[in-house]
Amino acid sequence: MDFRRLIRILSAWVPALALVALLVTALLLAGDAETDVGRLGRFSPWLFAGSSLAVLLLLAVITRRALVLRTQMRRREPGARLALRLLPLLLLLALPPLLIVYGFALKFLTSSIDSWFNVRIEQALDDSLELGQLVLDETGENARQQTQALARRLQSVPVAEFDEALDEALAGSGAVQLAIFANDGALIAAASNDARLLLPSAPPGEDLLTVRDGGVLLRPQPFEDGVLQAALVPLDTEYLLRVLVPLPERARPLVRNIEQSVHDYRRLDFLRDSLKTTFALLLSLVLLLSILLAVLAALAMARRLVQPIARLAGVADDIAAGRFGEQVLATSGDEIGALTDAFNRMSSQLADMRGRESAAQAENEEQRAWLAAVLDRLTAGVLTFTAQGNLRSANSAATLHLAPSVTVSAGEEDRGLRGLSELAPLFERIDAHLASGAREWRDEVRLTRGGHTQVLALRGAALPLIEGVEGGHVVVFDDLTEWNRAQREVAWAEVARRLAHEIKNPLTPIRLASERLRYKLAGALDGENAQVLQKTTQTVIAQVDALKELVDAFADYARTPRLRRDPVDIGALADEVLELYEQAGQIIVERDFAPALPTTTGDRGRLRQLLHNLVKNAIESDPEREPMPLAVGTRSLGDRIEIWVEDSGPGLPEGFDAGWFEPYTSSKPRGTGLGLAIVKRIAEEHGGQVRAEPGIAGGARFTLQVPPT
Amino acid sequence: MLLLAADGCAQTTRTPALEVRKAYVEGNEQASLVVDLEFSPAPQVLDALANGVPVRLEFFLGGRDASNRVAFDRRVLELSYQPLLRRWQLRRNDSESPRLFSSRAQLLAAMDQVRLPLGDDWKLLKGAREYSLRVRLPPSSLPGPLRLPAWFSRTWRIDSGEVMWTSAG
Repeated sequence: MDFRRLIRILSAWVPALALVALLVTALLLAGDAETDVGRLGRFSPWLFAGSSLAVLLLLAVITRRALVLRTQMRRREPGARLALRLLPLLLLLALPPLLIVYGFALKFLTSSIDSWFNVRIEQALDDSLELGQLVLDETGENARQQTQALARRLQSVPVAEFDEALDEALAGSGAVQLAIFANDGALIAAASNDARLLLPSAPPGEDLLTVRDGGVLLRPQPFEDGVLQAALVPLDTEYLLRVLVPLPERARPLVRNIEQSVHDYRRLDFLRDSLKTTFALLLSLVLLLSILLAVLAALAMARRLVQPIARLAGVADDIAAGRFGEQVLATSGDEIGALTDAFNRMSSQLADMRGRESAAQAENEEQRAWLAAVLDRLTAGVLTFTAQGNLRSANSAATLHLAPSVTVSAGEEDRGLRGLSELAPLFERIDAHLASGAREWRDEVRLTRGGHTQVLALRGAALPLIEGVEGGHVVVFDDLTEWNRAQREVAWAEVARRLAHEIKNPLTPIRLASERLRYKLAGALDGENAQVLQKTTQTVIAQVDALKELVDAFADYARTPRLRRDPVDIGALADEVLELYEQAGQIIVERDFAPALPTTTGDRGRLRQLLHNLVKNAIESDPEREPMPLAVGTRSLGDRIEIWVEDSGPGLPEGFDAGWFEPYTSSKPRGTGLGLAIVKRIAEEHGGQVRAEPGIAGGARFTLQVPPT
Repeated sequence: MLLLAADGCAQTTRTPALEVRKAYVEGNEQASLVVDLEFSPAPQVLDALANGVPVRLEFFLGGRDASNRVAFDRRVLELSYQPLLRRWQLRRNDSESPRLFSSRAQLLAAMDQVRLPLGDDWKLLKGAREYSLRVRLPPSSLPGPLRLPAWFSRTWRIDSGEVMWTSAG
């Protein structure tokens, strides 16, 4: 059994046991206090000590409960303060009656004790005592006379005849014992008519001395339950005579009663104050017992009364802390029970409401998350503005389109995006539309950044009122740059296809006609005319060839190839292409090919064409420089394979951007303007991309990235 | 309260009212305890005596010889006043005939030396002996109303304390 449990058990039983012990002690001491020979006389101190211990135990239990209450007060436990308020009220109910009863009981007790003693009774007893003393004195006087007469008679009797003489004298004397003693108290002769007095006891030394000096000693002598008068006279110079005379028979019981009554009354009268004190102490013990009982009962009752309210307060605190649905057990059918039931219903309803609120909140959160997910996955940028025009939020697409290199934290879109000067034109246009008050509007904005132009198509709308308050605005925009470019490419492809088709057909007849004309007329014309014919037909044929080359390039660009999908070692393929140009003396290549480069899946022919175009582009960047130094390399980036071609030419033209990969964009005076467009197209066919950047040595570097197999 | 009660339970210190000046055991066949006392009770005790409250002095004697044989004896002397006889009485608990004195002074004078016959156990002790004697007024011998106040009042604490002596035997 652990210590705490032991304390609890003791704390529950000790008060009851101590109270019983105190009560029993008080009763025993009270019963014992009145008697002379108390059965518990020798146990009184132990009873007293035991009751004191019981009081201490009770005080300890009360103190402990009071400390527990104080601790509960400090911890602000529910019900503690109410219990503390109830405690003095309950004590106020109990203590005054106790004190009143105590006071009256004490008064009654002292009055009762005082009433035992009456002046008349006292006077009567004193008179009786005096009467008894008179009887004794008279008996004593008779005894003295009798003894002196006998002494005179015996003075002439020889010592040897003392016994006989005493027997004779006893017969008509009325005495119960006659005895002769020597001066030293030795018995000489005796006579008695009472078997109990056959052996006379020697007179005390002081009596012998008194009589020897010539006196007559009269001394009452207790005998059994009565009194004998003893008279001692000197017989002569050597002997003493003692006569024991009883009281008259009728007087004996009376005298005995008088003695007892006076004795008892005087003792009681003497002990009156002590008796009052003793009973007052016992009453005080009982009062203390009652007070302790009242305090214990008040503590227990206060706790009991407050418990339901404390439970209610505790559960109310739980509910205030957000723990809904707690219930309190109703243990009574009174108003507190009704209050408990009502409280339980309220708690259940709150729990239900909380549940519904939580569910609604969860649904809201889910919808918000869904909306955020949808917005984040839109390819269109979505900007929301407050009614005051502050940027409230921007989805991922908006940040990606507008500031891909800037990290904008949630809640800081206004500072993050509006702070960018390059976006100023966009926000100026938007602000203008917001200020106009239009509910819906459309617009297009071009942003030029780093030489690159971005085309944004804007659609704005005012958000509906929310409880009479302006909800703000939403602006949705699409980056049309790539779309426009793609449209242009499609358009160009269509133009190329049509042109190729329309122009290619007449070119062959024109060539054939020119060749025939030259063949027919070359022999018929003389010197100068023959030269003019030769020159003109040669010019026509050359231009037709040039046109045919142009048309072929167009046709090639416009064609939608049917791609083969084979594993291609891009490094090996590049090496093949470079060898061709190296053998022609057009390039000098510094190779930096990664070993064990993964393959890519693609059309070998198209990829070869791509590489050819890159090499040709490098050669044509500086036609005066032959061979053109090139740096070509490959590497694996894990999810991509990269190959670059870097020349030592004049570098990228000013303003080079993604638009230079569109058809008919070229810095060269000659050429079709389709080379880089074809490179970009082939890269995109293979799921890759191509970019251009200034080279390390000042030339241009074109990098192709394609996915590995 | 507890301390006073405990004090009352275990009282062994001599009080001024009673002192054993001398004590010895005499006689072989019939041993007797002879005690020279200085008995000077408080006026309240004498007053109680005059008003019918007997005063009982308890003599508790213990003895041990060299062979660790022990003997104990308890005797009680009762002092009282007989109002009818107008005599002060001194009675031993083992004696039928009390001694009567015509004055209180004579009674108290008789307490100067007390002779108490002892039991047969004392015959068994041989040779050198150790004795211990205590004379006291047991509060339990008082009438009920005086008992409780007696525990709180020094007036009624009459105790010689333990007196020890040895004899050659």
